[in-house]
Amino acid sequence: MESVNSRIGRLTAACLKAAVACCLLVIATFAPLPMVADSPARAGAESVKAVMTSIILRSAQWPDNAFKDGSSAFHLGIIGRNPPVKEFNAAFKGITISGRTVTVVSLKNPADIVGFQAVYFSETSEDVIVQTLALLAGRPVLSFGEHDALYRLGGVVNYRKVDGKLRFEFNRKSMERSGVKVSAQVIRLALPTKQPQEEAAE
Amino acid sequence: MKKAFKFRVGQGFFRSALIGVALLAAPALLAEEDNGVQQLRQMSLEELMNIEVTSVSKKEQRLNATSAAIAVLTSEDLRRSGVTHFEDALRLIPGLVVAQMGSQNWAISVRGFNDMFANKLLVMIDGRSIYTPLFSGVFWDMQNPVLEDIDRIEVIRGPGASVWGANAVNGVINIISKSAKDTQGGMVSVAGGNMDPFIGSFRYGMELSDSAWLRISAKYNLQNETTLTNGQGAGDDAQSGQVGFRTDWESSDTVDWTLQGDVFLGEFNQIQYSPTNQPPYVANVPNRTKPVGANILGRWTKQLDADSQVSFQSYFDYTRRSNYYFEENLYTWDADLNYRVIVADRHDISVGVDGRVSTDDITAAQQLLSFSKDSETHYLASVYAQDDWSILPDELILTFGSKLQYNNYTGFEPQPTIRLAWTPNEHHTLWGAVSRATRTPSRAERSARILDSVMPPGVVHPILPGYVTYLGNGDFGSEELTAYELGYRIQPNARLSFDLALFFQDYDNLRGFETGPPYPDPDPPGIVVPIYATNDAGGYTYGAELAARWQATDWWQWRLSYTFLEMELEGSSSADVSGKSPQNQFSVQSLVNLPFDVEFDSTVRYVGELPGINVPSYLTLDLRLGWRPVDNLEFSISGRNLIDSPHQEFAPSLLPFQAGLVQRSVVAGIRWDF
Repeated sequence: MESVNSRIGRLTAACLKAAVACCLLVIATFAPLPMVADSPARAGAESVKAVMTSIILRSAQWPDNAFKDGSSAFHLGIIGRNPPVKEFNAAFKGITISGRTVTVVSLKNPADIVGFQAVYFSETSEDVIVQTLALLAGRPVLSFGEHDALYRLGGVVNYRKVDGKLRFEFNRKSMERSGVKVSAQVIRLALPTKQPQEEAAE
Repeated sequence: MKKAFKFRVGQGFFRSALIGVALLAAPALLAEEDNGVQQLRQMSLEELMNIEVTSVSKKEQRLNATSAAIAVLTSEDLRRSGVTHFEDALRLIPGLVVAQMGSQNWAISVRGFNDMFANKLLVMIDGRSIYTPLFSGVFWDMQNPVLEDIDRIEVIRGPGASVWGANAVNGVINIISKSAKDTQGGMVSVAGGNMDPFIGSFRYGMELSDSAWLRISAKYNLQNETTLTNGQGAGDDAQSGQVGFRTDWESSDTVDWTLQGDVFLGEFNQIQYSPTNQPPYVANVPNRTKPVGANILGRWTKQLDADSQVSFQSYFDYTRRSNYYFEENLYTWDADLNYRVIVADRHDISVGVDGRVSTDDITAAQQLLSFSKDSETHYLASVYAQDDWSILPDELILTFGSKLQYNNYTGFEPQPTIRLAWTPNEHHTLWGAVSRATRTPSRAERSARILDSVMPPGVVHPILPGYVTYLGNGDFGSEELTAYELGYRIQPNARLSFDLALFFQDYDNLRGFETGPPYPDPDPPGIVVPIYATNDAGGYTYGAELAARWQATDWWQWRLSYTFLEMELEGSSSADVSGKSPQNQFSVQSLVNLPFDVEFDSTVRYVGELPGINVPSYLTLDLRLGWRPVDNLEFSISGRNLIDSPHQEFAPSLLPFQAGLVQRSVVAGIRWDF
């Protein structure tokens, strides 16, 4: 077997090679390339949904009775498991909606959503969605999520992955019932869908 | 231990490490979450709708600084690779050595020591070890998952023993299937070509309730025989089928259940070079292997609160493998309990216990392969603890822990690791690790008797033949590794990333062979030339593994991998072992999304020579053309080994057989989701 000194020598040599390789890699990498961030071609679904939600919310007009008073914040609640609070906080950081700062809160109890202006359903069951939307019926609240049943149950914006990219269904009737008006430019980008009432009629 | 399980719930470091590299694969995600969202915030709604999204949970995304050499093959990577066998896709991962012999035999290892009976790699499917204690390796021909059901293949290069346990010496491969929730509806995939005349897969997923889902899958493969260098058929045609199910149930917002199982059947032909005591002392013998397997696995996970989680997993696995040499029935029971808690926002602590009992029952062809006992039971028990300590949150993370494992061959085996990752900003991560791992003896090394060859009379004895025979050694101990690793990840911008790992691995007590004094044997009459397994070998390996991705445009991605390996081994088996793994390997992959939903993918791959078994270097070209006229329909045609074909990739040594060459192949397929 090889002596310890010889092994240490080999190890030292390997470490030196490693250090040189790292330096070369750094030089080769940084020299020709600016340290700027391009527009990403891929991103985490929750991050994209968070930013899309912020854009849709900013495009909306809220009735006066949506807020407790003129200085109260805009409250967005997240219901369900693995709530993407960090992504939403990052998406809404420094942003105002109707001139109000935004707070993002993860809610354990659907009943706590009363008083909020928007709700986002992360992974949760149909029962929780039904229960929450029942509490919000007729209130100026926009509901978002990605769930097979959300659109049918009366949620306003339902995200769907199509070819690995995010699209959204928009339930115009639910929006109208809430009293919130989302920009027509946003609605125009939604996936073509039949309103649940139309489906029921058929 | 159960890898998929631990990636998900138990092992903060390894789970985060794997996901971290998954993020590296998606360059935009490697940046810290805030930074990534900041980029997204500059985009319009229309632009956001053109981004390809990846589904990685929040908790996993938070942890992107990893201190291990890790790679992830996603289901999309698998689809775009155009492979018909998942083993082929492993070729794209730096550090992995993958060689095919004939239609269904593979030699796969990490960081050297490659062989058909490679024994330093732990392979898991959904947390179920497919390692066999018979030779401390994997029967690759008995693994035939539905490719469309695979969510990702995670590969750790280097020791993972502190968490995974025995045989996670040079690496861990963890194949993770999609949840039943994510595979709802139907899928039919049919493909055929010159080497794989039929590959059919079927899947149907249904909703049992609004919180429970079921998936049933089936697959059948037919493989043609390969050819020999003289152009004749190798007689190694094969067929195999697998049927499986998976149920996922979210019984509450904090509790998940999984129940899954598979049944596997196969029939593989090959021509065995079998020693005989009649001239010419070796005969070509048809060997039909008929493997059967069945397994069932249950998993329960409970989120106790925001910072802690407990999980339990158990499985039963049965395999039967009968062929010309022997019939082995193997029954394995395994149970695994894990607890993970985050303490004071700085310590991500994982602890767990694991137990496994394996009982085999072997009926052997006595002259060729036998064991000192027809049946044997192996016990494995272990406890582990590991702490991911955020010394500086999101910047400096120290990981330390150890597994203490008991097995009934060598007793207690401590396997510690210490790792440090420094992420000064979202563009760089520098990491280092020192780990110890052991490879427990196999049943064959301890108690097998394998007739390797017969020497004519006059060589060993004037009138009697000599039987060169490998004999197990009841004192054979564990092989030991101390590994030193250094890694650097860099993402200069959102479209470009590099992942470099350097390693120096110091081995002791490696398996060698010692020839003992010949002795007469009455049945059959002859002189036995015994060769005993010993622990007299050792030495070290060092090398580098580089992976790079460049999203040149929104529709064109390049991937590169390069592996350098040097093996400096001493002892009776050193020359044989070190000459079976290539010193240099590289691959370049181009993935192009063309207009009209057409995909054109190409891979060029070089593998260096294997001087120990006289296999020359080779260069291959694989091409794939795919078209999705509508969302749920895909046509594809793939060509593999389009240059330098047919070629030899490996040669069996122990229990040699007529190994066909790897052929040029074309396969066309259609997939319909409904």
